[in-house]
Amino acid sequence: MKIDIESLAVSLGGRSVLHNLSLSIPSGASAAILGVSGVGKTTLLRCVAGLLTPSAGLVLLGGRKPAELYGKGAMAFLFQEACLWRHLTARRTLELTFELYGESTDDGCVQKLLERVGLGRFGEYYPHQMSVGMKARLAIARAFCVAPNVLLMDEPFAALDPLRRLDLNRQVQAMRREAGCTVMWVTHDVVEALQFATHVIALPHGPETAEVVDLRSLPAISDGANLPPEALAMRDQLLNTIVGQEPVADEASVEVLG
Amino acid sequence: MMGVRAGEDRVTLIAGGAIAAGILLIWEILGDSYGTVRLLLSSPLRTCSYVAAHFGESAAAFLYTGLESVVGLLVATAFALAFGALCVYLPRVGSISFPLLVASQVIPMVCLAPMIILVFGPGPSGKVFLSALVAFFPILTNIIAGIRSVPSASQEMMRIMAATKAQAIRHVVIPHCADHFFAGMRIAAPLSVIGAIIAEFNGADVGIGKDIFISAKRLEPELMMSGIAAGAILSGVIYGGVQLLERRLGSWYWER
Repeated sequence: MKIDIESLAVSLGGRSVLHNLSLSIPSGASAAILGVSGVGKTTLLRCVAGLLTPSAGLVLLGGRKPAELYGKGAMAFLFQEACLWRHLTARRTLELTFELYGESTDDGCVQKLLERVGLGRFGEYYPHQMSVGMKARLAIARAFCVAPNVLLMDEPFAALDPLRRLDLNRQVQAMRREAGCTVMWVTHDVVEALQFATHVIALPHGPETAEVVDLRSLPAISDGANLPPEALAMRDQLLNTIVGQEPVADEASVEVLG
Repeated sequence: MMGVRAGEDRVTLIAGGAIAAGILLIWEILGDSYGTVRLLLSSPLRTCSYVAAHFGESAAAFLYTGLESVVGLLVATAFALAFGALCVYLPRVGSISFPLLVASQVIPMVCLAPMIILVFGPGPSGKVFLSALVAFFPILTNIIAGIRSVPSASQEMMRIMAATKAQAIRHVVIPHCADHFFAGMRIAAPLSVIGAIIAEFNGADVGIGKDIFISAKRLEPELMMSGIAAGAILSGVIYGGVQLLERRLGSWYWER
């Protein structure tokens, strides 16, 4: 499902967070929203989800307003916290999700989904009995209960160690390719964006306009620690865009105390 | 790990039992040896003999006050749930009425007991009313705190899933409120007994409060001590009942 944003502007508490933002993400893409803290990454994602009403402009998902996709399984959102139902086991969580979407669970789809995310043996676990990684896996399984057209992710793996994060990002991208959905996700990590995104929405720190960078011409990156030269050049370009005119501490002016 | 925990629990239990037995022993010796102590506090054995000799009346008083307290607690819970939901889901109503309710708490509820008995008469309704009045506020404040603690992300997720209001309440609000709600209930359980007993001080045909009140007038320390013990046991029983209910309904969070 294609994502179109036209002249989007958002003000929060009298402060302009996003201003005249227009961009388009093709169907089936994996678009990373990249930027420094406070630049409006989560605000943009929440506007795309229809959870935040913009001051001006329009967000269209496949030509429809975000709220029109609610409840049909067409949109899924992974929040920073897993937001699991604390009174339900992993199996019941997925069963309830199917029920909410009016889908049947007769064909063993719940067990298949649990196995798909590596929770096959943990179906009877409650959230309080799970590790942070297991909770994130269950949240992914819930998001993919009914193959969504759009998956929005607000740093859902930020609390995990780099290895687990890598593993879960791979899992999400594999499921994205299978479901053919468009993913839009927030990250601070340029290398993570280079590894898993087909497009990067670079939100600059200054007043410049956001830029959509197509990464599909880059070679596949399997090891984030050893980037090929093209990826290194792209990393520098993205860093330059998102940091913009932010003042950088001059080494000579740093006073060493103690 | 579990073995260590069980061992610690056993030590705590034995230590607690030993302290209680020591206090009872000292009380028995003093009550038996000194007339003044016997006149004011009686002694454990004399109190037990008194209860055995007047078992029917003691049991009736216990059951009567127990029933008033339990009904009072249930009424307080029902009103607190309804009012808590009203405060949160109709914020305008909440913002007007909640400060008034907080202000009303500066009136010591004990002072209202004579007026309540005047209005309701010496029957059980006045006792239930005061019991509910005393138990209501801790439950209400905890319910409101619980509803306000529900993460906005969880509610937004239910919105994206187009869950109905009832589904959102059942699967997000109630599970998040449960621990707050039961914390309020645990505070309110002994308070409901206090409310019923205070109301009985001001006029009752039967009850623990009536027994304690007349024991002071008649200088019957055995009746007074048996009344105090019955009140303590009743508070413990209702508190235990709340805890049992909490374990049964909220096992998914009890094990955290």
